[in-house]
Amino acid sequence: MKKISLIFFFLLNSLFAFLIQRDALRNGLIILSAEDHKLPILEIRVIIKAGSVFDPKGKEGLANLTIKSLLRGTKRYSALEIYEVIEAVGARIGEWAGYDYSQISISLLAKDLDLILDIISDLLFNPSFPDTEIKKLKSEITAGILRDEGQPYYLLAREFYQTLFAATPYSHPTVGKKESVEKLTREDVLDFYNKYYIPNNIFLVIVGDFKREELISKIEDIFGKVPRGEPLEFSFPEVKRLSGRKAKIITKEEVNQSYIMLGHFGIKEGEEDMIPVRVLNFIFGAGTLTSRLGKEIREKRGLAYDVGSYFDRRLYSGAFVCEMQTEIKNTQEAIKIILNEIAKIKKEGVKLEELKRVKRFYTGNFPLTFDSYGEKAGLMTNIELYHLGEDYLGKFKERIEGLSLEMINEMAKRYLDYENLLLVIVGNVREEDLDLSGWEVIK
Amino acid sequence: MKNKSVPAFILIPVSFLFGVELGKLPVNNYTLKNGLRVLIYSDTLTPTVSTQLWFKVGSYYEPSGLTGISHLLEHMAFKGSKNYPGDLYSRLILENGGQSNAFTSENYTAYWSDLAFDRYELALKLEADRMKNLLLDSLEFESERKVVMEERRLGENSPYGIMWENFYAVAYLSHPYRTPVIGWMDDIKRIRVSDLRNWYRHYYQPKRAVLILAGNIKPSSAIKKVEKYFGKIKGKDVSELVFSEPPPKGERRIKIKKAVKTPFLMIGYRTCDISNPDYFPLEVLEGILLGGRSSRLYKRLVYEKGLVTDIFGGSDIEKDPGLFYFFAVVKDTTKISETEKAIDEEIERLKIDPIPNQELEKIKNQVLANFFFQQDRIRSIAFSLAKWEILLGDYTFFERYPKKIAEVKEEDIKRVLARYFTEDRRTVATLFPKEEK
Repeated sequence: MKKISLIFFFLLNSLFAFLIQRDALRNGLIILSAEDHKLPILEIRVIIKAGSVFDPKGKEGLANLTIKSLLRGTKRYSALEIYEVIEAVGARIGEWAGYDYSQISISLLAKDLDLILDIISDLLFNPSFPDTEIKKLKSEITAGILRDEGQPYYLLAREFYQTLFAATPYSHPTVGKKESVEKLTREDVLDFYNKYYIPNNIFLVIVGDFKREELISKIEDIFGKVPRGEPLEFSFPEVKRLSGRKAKIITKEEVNQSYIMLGHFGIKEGEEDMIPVRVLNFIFGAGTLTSRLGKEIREKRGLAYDVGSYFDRRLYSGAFVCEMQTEIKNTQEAIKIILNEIAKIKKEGVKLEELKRVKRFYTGNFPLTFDSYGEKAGLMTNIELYHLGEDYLGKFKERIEGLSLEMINEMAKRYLDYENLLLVIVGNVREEDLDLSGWEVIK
Repeated sequence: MKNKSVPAFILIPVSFLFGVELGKLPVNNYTLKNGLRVLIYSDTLTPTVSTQLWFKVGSYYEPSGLTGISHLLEHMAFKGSKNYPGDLYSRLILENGGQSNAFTSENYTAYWSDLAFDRYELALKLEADRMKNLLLDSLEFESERKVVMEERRLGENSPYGIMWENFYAVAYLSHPYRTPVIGWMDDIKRIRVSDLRNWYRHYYQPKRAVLILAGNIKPSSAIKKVEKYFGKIKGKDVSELVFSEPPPKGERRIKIKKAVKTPFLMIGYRTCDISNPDYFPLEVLEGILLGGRSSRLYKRLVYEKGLVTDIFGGSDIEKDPGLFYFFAVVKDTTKISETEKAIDEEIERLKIDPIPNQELEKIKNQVLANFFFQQDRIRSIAFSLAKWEILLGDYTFFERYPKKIAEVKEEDIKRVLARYFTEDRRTVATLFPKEEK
């Protein structure tokens, strides 16, 4: 069988090179591999390009239930046998659904590669989805939702994204809602599985102590026989922009801080502006001690322990979020400071000194971003999933160094907004405790 | 100053365990004239260096009224010195592309910075300065105190945080492990900047510190740099505080209420200290009962009976006598007693029935694999080495650990089960959901 192969070679300096090999099997399965013989271990990621964004309406949580069901039985092994076989050799496995993709992630000793590859292929292409197991899983998931509802941060994030991304598949938590999970059936899982768990919708990432030629031929032997599936169509609905300032207050009497999220839509991962936008955000709010938000809120005034902002990483849309937790009586002040800082950076832009500093950070920090097998695997996953391009690593430094003050200030104008915003607060606070003039309070 | 070995490769093979080569770690160790312990771990295959300075001080040493002072000092250690005022410590590391942070525990306070391998000297310079020249400015302190109060509130709002704090306050009667590392709110409010300065002068001594450099460095040139920055720091002897805990007189049991939707159950048995040989069988026992989805308690409580959504825990021994604990997120209040009973039964079953050899082999394989997983990130291996050096004065514990685990026999496990898993040594805490107003 002939496979297509590509190499991205990235040279950090004369001593360190990071070599990523991209192979494609005839059935469309992609393998990204990077040899690293420092330790006798391997890090494997199996990425199925179907996350919770593919959950049908009313069936929220289906992607998550599907990936979790894989480990609950195959035609060869029962759930307990799967755990036993994997853990007997000291390997670790985790499986979950994100928004854009579902993932199985395994750390193992290199000597157990054959065994683990065999299990992965069994999980992926031979699951039996026992009905009793699916029922058990559903009960575990819904109990987990109740558990998480005891945490203010969980309630905050769920409410924020649900409101911001309303009417899009990004609005629900990846695990789904209690009511929707309860209704899911084995047939739903089978449908989802048949549609998305096809070799041409999956890629493998492998980092560590292996020889590429051997690895690829093993994978070809094991995975190559699975037939290619029907190409998938997916379109993400148009997001409805926010108009005006909306606020939502969730009163929890026992919570002695206001948990705050404030933000709006952001940017799709992989878009041209992503790098300058991240640089802008670095100056604005990334870094608890050193960013503008960190300085104003934590360092100068001691209003919060955690404070920061981010543009999140999603394939079809994105969010810009400022978040913090502060003592109830400081709620109003904290919100005011965030709004002022957004207004200020839009109006006045960033300082040349700030830009120079962030450039020094990004260029100096670059080697630290792939310091471990796990981080290399994460980086390779992002490159493939978000189409960052084979020259992403090679050109990264150059792109950072090429950023001008005008460009960053243009990003602030384009991607930050203080007029159209969503604010969500969870804590022992009520609408009447706050001055929300100019805000539309939503229930 | 002594130089133990000059390693050439990352792992020098010394023995084989279950078919995997176990290495001797490439660590050089030194003691400067002022008593500072220095560990240098060289790994020529990584592009970074992690620089860490650990002090033997934490909540363990704090008297009543000053709880949380070690952690407050850790925060203030980022607020500048005469030579590096304001936020320069963090800013210089950041501008060089580095990452830095710190943490405080019962028995230690640690500062770390990761930088590209050709820039680590900066971190050395800053850490040496931090050891002696902190400003501890009173205005900065007032602002930082508020930050720490917010940090404490975060813990109060987490059901897990509440559970831990209440549990340890009851599981120990007099030993300082009963107080939280972050301190009680009244003490955080009470502590004065003069207390902080005294604490700093007393405990931040070269003799109470371990400096570790891990990454792509040559020990011979690195130690010269260490000498340059740390060699001149003068220190004094500080007498070590020893605390013990009276023998338990019977089970302790508490009920806590909080606005949550699922109850929590926590059970802990008082065990031994870190130097006790029982340490290792307790680690294996953790694997048998709680290690992963093939463990006995996961299989029974999560998978078969569906009583809980999560069960975790294990042998928690920091230095002095610790606890073997179980933390269960129970599905609803009707299942609490059944969960407790099932945990009891699994312990009793282990005491009586033979433990299959296969199960022991599995745990040993897991420990061995973890030994390598931990080395994946240069920062984590430095954490482990420094931790053992601070707690035991012996970083080689890290490399001996997998072998020690491999030597554990069934009878050792039976011994620790009989010795520690008794009703009198037990503390049980239950967190009940409270109606929300």
